[in-house]
Amino acid sequence: MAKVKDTPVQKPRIGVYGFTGCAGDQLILIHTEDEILNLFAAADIRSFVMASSNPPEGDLDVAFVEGSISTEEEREHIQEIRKRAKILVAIGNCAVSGGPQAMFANDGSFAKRLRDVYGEVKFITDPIEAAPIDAHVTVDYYLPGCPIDSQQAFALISRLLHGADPEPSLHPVCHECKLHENRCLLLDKKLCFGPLTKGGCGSACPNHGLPCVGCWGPQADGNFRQHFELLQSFGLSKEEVFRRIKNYGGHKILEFIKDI
Amino acid sequence: MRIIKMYKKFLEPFLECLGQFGRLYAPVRKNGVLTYGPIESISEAVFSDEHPLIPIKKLFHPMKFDMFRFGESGFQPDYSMVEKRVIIGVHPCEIHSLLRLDDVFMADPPDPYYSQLRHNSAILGFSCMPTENSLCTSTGTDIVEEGYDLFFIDLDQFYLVWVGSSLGHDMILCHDEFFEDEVTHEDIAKYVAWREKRNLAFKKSFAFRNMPDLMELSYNSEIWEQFGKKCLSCGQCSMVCPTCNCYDTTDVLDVSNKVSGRRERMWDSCMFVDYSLVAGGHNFRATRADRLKLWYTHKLKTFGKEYGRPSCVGCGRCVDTCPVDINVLTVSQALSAREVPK
Repeated sequence: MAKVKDTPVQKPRIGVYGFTGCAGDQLILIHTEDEILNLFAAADIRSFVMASSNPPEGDLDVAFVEGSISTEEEREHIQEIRKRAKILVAIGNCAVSGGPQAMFANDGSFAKRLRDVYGEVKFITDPIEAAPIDAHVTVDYYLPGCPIDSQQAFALISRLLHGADPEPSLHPVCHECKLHENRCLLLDKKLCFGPLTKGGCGSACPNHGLPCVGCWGPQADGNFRQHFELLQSFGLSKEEVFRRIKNYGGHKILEFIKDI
Repeated sequence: MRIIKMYKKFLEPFLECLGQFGRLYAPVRKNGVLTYGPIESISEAVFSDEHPLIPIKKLFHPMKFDMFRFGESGFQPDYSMVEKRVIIGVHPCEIHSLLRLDDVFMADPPDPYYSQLRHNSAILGFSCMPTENSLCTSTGTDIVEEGYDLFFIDLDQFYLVWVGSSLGHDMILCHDEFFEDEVTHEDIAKYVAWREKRNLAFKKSFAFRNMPDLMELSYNSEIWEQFGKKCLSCGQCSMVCPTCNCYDTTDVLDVSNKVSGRRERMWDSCMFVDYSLVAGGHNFRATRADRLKLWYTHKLKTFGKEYGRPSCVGCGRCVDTCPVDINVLTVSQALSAREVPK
């Protein structure tokens, strides 16, 4: 019986990068004590500034990118990462939708807002209107959330590491909310965005009696027109509902509400 | 069928002693919501007419669990959720819902998780008065003839107790002295009066028996489009319906190993867009109208074709829950009147 020779398999090379954001999504990856050592064992972490300094910058199998693109320097950096990475994953609301810093996305007031906040200063790198990663480069997979959910994140990471397709998440927050046996906040006329929002958070806010603010971003199958009508029947103005959903909806919400 | 009588003062000591038959479960109040859960003492149990938000199906068809771990050498099923249980305070519609679920999960080959949970659980039914949206007289599920070990009918000073199985009989023996075999004429008169009072207490009804035909006739009705415009696709109707039983399975691979992992099973709903999505991106029921039509047609007609009776048990949870008022009442009214209520 000939012995099968173990051929050393090259571990997937991974890089984790952060642009404009609070770094909370990278923190979730590091704070997942159950999995972080498995990840370090299963992958060749080439760059993870939060975990180690002076990374070598070479070719990558997967790049995880957090934060919005908000300066010229970041725009150049993301294009450079895209060139080196086979797969690029946007992680967190800022990278996926633009984040709260994109709540006024495309309303034409960027130059004025910049002046109002910073006055006439000389920037080290020129600011540009905060935008999600896919406004500048192609994104292969999305991990929404503010911050991302570690279970959802590691389900995707393990599939990518092993060459399987990640499962997209297509259900609203209400799915998990009912599994947590919460009474529907809409029945109490609360401004809840559960039905319009991607699930994956485990209905974190409704579990504490707080309405969903939509931080996982728009759920493509949401019935936006009907839901806005319902919220207005509670006595909320259309402007108020729009303002609230843009807080986390950034660039991604615009296409869903443009005809309402 | 043996029917015996027990004065109310004995209820608590009697139920306490049932711990020897398994872990006690009952409706309990958690953050203001009624939910089935394990109890340490009978004082925690809430005996009321209100239904728990999530039906009893969750105790037999768990919401989310790992079916098995898999690896290079095969797979190991995880039956760790199976335990001996005594479930107290189960309303008639809930017992009917389990009989409907049995039709699905116990059919050959039986679902090993469901059937083990079912075989290890005793059901103690309790009578109730109808709530605002109870529809069980419409669906013929207000009376139970099977599916319980003991059933308690509350007649103010005492209970009449139906013994529905040999296990129920053994339970009685644990405090034989609490029960009287003598049911008097007066007791029977009280029972009849209670039944009449209960029948008159229903506020709502729908033409359940007409539904299969109406569904058939309404297959191409514009009514579905109108409901489709309203539906939020939040899936709450499926989660709270005691006979909805669809689930999805997902293989979660271990981060550290390519060939090992776990298969997770989780409740699903045909209201979600990916439910009828198949390989190649084709979706049989992409529109909300089609999804709704499927739900109601299955609930009120097709399930009956397959298993002998439709699966709506008239609990009224869809009426309680849907934020945009799509439920068996509004749908059946719309199909009868050919118009969607505003």
